[in-house]
Amino acid sequence: MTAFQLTVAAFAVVTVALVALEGLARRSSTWPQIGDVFTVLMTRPTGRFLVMLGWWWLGWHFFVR
Amino acid sequence: MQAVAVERRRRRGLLVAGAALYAWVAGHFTPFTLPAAVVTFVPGAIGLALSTRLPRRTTPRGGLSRRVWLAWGIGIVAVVGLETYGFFAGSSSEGHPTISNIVNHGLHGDETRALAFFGWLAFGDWLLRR
Repeated sequence: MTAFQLTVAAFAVVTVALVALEGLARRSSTWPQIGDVFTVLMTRPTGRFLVMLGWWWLGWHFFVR
Repeated sequence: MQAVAVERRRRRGLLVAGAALYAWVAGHFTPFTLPAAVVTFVPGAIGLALSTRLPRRTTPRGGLSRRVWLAWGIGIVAVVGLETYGFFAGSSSEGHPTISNIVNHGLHGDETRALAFFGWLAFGDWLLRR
C-alpha cells in the first residue's frame, strides 16, 4: 500500500466514523450532534469569529487556490 | 402570524435562489484567477462580518454524553492532524495528500464546482444560525 492510498484510507475511515457518529447521535437524545459541537465552539464571540474564519479559509482553499 | 411565516418562507426562498445563482456563476470561474478570488472573498467577508453582529440563535444543550463529546474531539483532531501532516509532508497527489488534493479531482467540472460552492455557502449559513 502506497503512502497516498494509506492517507486516503485514513481520511475515509475518519469520515465514515464521523458520519456514523452523527447518525447514531440523531437517534439519541443524550448524544451530542455535530450541530451541538459547533454551537459550543461558537458560544463565545472569539470562537464564533474563528469558526467563520475557518469556513472562509475552506472556501478559499477549494475554490481559489 | 401565518402571514409572517409566509413572508419568512418567501425571503428564505429568495435567499436560496440567489445563493444558487451566485454559486452557478462562481463555479464557472477558473481557480487561480482574480474573478474566482473575488467571488470567494465577498461571501467570506460578509459571513465573517455577520458573525460578529448577528445574535446567537441556539444555546448549548446540557447533560449530553461526555464519552460522545470525547469521540467528536478525537474525530476532529484526527481530521486536523491528517490535514496538517499531509500539508507539511508535501501536500501532493502521490505522497501524503491533503483534503484538497483528494477533492480537487472532483472539482474539475464547472457544475460540480458550482454545486460544491453552493454547499460551502449553505454551510456558512448553517454556521451563522448557531
